[in-house]
Amino acid sequence: MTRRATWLTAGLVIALPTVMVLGIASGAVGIAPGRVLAVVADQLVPWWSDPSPVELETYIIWDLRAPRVMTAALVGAALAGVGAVLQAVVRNPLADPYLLGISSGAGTGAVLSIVLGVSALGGLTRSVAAFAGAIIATLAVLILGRREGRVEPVRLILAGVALSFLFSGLTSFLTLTTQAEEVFSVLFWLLGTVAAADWMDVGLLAPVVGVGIAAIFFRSGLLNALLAGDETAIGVGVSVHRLRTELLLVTSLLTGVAVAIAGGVGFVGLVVPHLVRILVGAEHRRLIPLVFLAGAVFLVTVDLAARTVVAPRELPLGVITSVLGAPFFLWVMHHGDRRSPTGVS
Amino acid sequence: MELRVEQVTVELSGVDVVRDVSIEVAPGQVVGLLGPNGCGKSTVLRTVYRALAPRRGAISIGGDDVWKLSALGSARRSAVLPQDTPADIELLALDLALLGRLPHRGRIASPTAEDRQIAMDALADLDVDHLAQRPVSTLSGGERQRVHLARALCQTTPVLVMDEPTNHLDVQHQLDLLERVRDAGATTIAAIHDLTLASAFCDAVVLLKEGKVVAAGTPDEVLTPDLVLEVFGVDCVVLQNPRTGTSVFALSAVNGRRSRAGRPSDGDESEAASL
Repeated sequence: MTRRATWLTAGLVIALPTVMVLGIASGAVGIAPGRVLAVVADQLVPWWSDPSPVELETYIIWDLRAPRVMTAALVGAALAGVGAVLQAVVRNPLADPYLLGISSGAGTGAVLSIVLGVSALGGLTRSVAAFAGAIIATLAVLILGRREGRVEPVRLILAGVALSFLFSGLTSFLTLTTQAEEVFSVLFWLLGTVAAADWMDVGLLAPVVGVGIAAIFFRSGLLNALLAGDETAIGVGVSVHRLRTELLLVTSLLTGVAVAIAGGVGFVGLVVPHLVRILVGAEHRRLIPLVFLAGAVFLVTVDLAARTVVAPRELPLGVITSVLGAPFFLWVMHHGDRRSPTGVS
Repeated sequence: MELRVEQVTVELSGVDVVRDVSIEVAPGQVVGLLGPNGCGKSTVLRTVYRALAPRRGAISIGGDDVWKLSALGSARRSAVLPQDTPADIELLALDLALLGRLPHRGRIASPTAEDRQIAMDALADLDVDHLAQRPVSTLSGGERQRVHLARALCQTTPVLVMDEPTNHLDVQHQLDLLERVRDAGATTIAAIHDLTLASAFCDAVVLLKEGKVVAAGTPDEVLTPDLVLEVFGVDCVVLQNPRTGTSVFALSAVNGRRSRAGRPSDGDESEAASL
């Protein structure tokens, strides 16, 4: 491990709990970080902590904000990891979780559920509809991206882009032909938000993201082989076509769940992997764990900004990731390390 | 270990591009695969390292059918130097070389100190150890080719498959690379375009045309002016290098097409286009 990777690991391991506590502490009602720790400790190990906190405080911290921050962390980790994997799987630096049309499919599903009014039954229905849309898009792109039984990166990208346009068009049509007061909530959701996340969302996300992270982590050495080209990868004993299909299924599942719960948070999956790669290089054993961590830190921070920049109003996450993330990314790219093509100014 | 390609037929998009090709490579031998573009050299090689399944026939290494081994098991029998490798690989040269150790330690485990030592030694052997910490994307084509060969040698396999190994290399490194391959002592099958290099370095050559074996045997037996004309469609004069005693193939276009000097070639040996 290089020294830079060690520093980055240490920095992220400290940063993640820090931004999570800050994320819980900030909001309409300001709470001291010390109180956050006390309430969280009281919830996790009630027999150990001292005087029980007041009920309202517990409600704000544990029921409102903690699941929101947890959701942001899980979605950030998932989307960033998916981006890093897809960039290797299709050997294209522009790949991100939305490239393959998965989020557009989820968006159409969600908007359909809102427009048809079934969302009156609660947030879960929208999530289910979004997830169904993601699965339909995934299956379509996997079928269209194959030739002679093999997944071909270029076909996959083209099929994904075409499907994205198709689903985006359908979403726009549904949005523009629906009742005016519903349009705003649809648009807001399409740009990504974790404002309404509760513990049920965390309960859905956590197992999927956990399994997905593990599945990707154990394949990170094989991703190095994919970078070296298919012929080389086959020559060192990697079943390239099987690996691609497995990774596409895992990443689709992660994207589907993330979009179903948090909407279309753009840019995270594209930018975070590149930022980490510029800092520590492209070796995936080192890169992948850091990308997961960085994605979590990034999205918790973005959510914090989304709540505070124009408080008391909230911004969608996608607005922050684009408006703040893009210039930051361009700055790092310009001053980055020459070891990476993206780092060459 | 012995490599046998037995009556292999390969179909691509409904067409048999390779038909009934049989090649035997004895342990430690270097066999060259020669023939014009599109004659099926790469296709035959790709069946050996399992990038392409033959429609009929079998490939065995040390008596075992490679298509019945596991993917990693096959990669412990044969290593490959592909014809074209991406120019945009962001991995460090050392990390690329370390891929050659993957079949030995499995899919999940990280490289050990021993793996790193083997990789560094292989890079040093090919004179690219000073590039170990450079991303492959910043190397020249020839440097990249040598790093890839180092990766293949790291695999420490009994069989080596090479598709135009001298691609991108300057003349010194062409000779150097083939010398290293001979020193490695592996059973080797290589597609080669340069007749002079092939005859100097191969124990035997196999001449392919339109997916079929036209001739096989020692370079002297096979690379005759008649066969070269038949297979490649060029006139050829076999000279002898007075220093090394090896054959040099002086080639020229047939039927008085213009030579480099701009005059119609009348077939005179002195006007043969230079190699």
